[in-house]
Amino acid sequence: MLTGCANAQKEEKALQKEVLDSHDKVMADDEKAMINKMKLDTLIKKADSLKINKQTANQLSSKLTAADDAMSDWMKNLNLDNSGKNHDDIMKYWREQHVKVKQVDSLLVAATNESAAFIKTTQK
Amino acid sequence: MRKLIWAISGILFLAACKSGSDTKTLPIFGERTPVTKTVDGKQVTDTLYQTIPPFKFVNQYGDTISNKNLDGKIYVADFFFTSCPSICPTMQRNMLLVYNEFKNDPNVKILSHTIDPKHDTVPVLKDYADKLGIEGNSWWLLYGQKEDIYQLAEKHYLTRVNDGKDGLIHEGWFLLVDKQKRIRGSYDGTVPDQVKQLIADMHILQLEK
Repeated sequence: MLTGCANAQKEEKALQKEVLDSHDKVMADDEKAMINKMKLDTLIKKADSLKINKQTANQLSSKLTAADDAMSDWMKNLNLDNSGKNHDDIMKYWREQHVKVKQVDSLLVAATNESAAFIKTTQK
Repeated sequence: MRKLIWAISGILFLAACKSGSDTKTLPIFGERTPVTKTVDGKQVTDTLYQTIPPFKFVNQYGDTISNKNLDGKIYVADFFFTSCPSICPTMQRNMLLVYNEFKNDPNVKILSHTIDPKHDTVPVLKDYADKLGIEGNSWWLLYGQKEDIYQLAEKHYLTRVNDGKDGLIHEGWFLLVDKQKRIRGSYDGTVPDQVKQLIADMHILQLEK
């Protein structure tokens, strides 16, 4: 009985750690997104003289902001305190969070890659 | 009487020599720019060190904090957010050691910048500060535009620790800045031994003019 309980807790901790490790990786992707947003915002300010497509730059900047907001919201809503819940509910919660953080990461990576491609075209 | 004066002078001389030889200085990090100027008709080359540029944020009390509030002071900067589930609680626990060591020295400050200003508003920062037990004006939790904070972090505070890896701002660095706003050290804020070293280095900087 006690061993079963200890194993259940071990399993919960392992899955929680997996989610938090993912979070740290997504934070790095969020930083890349922010760096590209800063580059884009600088380009937007000089759009006329650089003759770049301001509308596209603005759309890409908004996309980066939306992805960053999604990350910020996910972190804010993440609940580390699962006391009072049973094992199955706790495992379900962390599985759902794993899926959610990966979705956020996809948004960040996509927005970063798109903006990087645009920034590259302005450097020719 | 004369013998006594000589004896005291000797002791003072030895003490001065000893403290002189034990004086440690910390390296200065960042870019250096040579500047040539003319002094008394002669060309002299001086070195300009990279410094933290002007900034303006708001602290947990709603007060505006700018670079001017740090004139002539040493400070430690770090980056965090209140909902951070991984490294930040360890970082802030370690920063409390720095706070407790220097909270009575008005010339030492701690600047913790939130990288989640969407949720970490001034009242949220105040609540977080209260929970940490922060009082007074030695540790400021700073709110500002995310772009401004990242700009300072990426272009200034974290250039010293840039090892080519991604995710510098969320690696838990504590950056030590001197009275002239130059970076003098970087420490992993999650490692107690490095925080101990930071505290020792801050005592060295306290003695600098």
